[in-house]
Amino acid sequence: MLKKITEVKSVATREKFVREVILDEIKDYITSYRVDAMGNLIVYKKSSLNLEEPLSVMMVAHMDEVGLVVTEITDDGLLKFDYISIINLDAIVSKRVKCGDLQGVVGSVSLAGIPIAERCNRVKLDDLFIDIGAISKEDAEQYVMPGDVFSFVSDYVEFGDGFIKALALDNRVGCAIMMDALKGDYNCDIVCLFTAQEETAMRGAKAAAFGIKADFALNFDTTLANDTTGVPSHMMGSKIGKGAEYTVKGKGTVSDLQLVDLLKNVSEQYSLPLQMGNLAFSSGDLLEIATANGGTRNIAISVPARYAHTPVCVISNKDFCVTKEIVKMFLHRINSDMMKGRD
Amino acid sequence: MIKNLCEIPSPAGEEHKIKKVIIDELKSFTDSYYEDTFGNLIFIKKSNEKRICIECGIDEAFLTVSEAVENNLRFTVSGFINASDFADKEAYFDDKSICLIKSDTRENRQVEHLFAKAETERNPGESVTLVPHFQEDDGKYTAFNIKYKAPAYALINAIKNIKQNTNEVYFVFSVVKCFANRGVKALLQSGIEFDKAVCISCADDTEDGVLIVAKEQSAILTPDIKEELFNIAKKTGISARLSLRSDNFNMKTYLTDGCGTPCGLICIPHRDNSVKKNNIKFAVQLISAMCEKE
Repeated sequence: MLKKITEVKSVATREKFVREVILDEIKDYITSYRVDAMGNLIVYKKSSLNLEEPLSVMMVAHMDEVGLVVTEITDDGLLKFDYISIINLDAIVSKRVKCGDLQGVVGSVSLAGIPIAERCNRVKLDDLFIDIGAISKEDAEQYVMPGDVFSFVSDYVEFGDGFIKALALDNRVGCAIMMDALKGDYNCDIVCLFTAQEETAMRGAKAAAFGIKADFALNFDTTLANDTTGVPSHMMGSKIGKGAEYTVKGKGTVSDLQLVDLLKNVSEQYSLPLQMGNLAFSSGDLLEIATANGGTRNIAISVPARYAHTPVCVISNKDFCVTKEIVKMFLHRINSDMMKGRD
Repeated sequence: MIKNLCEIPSPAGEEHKIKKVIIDELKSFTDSYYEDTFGNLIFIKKSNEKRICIECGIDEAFLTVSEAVENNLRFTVSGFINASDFADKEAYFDDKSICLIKSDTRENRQVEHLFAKAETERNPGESVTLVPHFQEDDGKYTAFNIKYKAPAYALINAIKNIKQNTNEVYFVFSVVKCFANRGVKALLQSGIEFDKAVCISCADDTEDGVLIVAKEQSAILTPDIKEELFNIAKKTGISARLSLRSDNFNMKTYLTDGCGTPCGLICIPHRDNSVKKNNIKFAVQLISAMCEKE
């Protein structure tokens, strides 16, 4: 399933492609669904028990991915672009990109003629373009126009010691966790929010959150694993291979301490490795979900990822599987005792 | 009371202890109170007239332990914290166990440069706040966290001073203010509507008198609220003056969240971790007079 949904290209604002794949996968396990005006996919699954007022849990993961948006076609048929979300420009030069069936490569002005000492830090957005092999502006305009979006081309590859490299692991991983969870039955009502446009400042979540009120919110995403050579351990964020990651306090969000305790409890009971992220990063959609409708008790659960927002995002399959399991066990453990307050 | 408020650690998201103290202080001075889903503590003085909100934050700057190896601690932060505020100072955990915060560097300090040695075993995720070292003399209160606690102290005293409110007033002690005013954001997105709001905070300033903030980041003080505040100050002999700020989001949240609420911002001047007693008194008088105004 992860291979299938990471290979669908759905840059922010073009989520319909991955939405179709997700729906096709989960339709036999849900009560109902709707797609709102922003393109969010909102899925409902009733509790398996016939309770009068079951607890409700909202699960959130964004469907979109980073990409490039065409801003101008030059006279010689090259495409100037801007990036959707934050992208490391060094990581995209010479990479293949695609817009529908239209192929291209990200090129840059030649470094020939530039003194070697000045070649460092040369990658600037103004120096980059997408080359689709057009010979003129008129030629390029037959295939593309400003506003069209390109995504990166990157195959799903399993390598090394259980590592996965794929495009858009941020955040098809989160989507896959929710899709897997939906296949189970739980005592609580579930609302799954597959959000659109998270990479453009959480626009989808902001809109969707107004229409949904739940007792708890769980946000799933990738998180920074900066665990490579030369980084002090307290600056690593989280580490690949050490299990699912949770946040106590992110940039602007505070996890509910009861939910944190429950998560730790589940991890211990089922021997599922869990780590706390030691850098306070933004929890994406949770920034909007946490305060909507007067606030929702929430927690962010993430899969550590290296090189996010590049065509070669990498996770550990073990971390991914552990996170799926922890989430399912966590959902089974949510009960009315959780509503007794957080003090 | 202000000493007590300063000496109760209240990192964002962990305001429960200070809320208990505030409830004990105020429950007999208001018609009702409740805690909303997000954790904001709200007291109400009822009336059939317009509904106004008077709000201040109750959380304070903190660090989160990101790594604990053999009691050697490293920290991270997720709010708008200046690492230099913590360097070379004592900080304590919720159980009042103290550690001395040091820094790897003297220049361009970031939170990632800070470290400490704990007396007892600690865990990642725990929060530390500055040990306030509260002092009081004839003219002022001094504590490392006074700028976070003085607004709540002023609001508590103002509520106790109100004899008869004209409008219905929601006194909001908001949580998670350090994270871009998220408690207020949640309150406004709950659907509750106010005719106007006034926020109380502290601002770095040396002069006497309450500051009425004319512009904060991109938010501009609503003209009729500005006029109202100055008229009240003039009538009651309170020293007040206009100020500009660029360092916070108090007003912007009211203007852009929920359905939008006209708002004002009153600041109590602070400098070198001290607040003058007179300035707190002016703030108390201004807030009380605002609630009693016809």
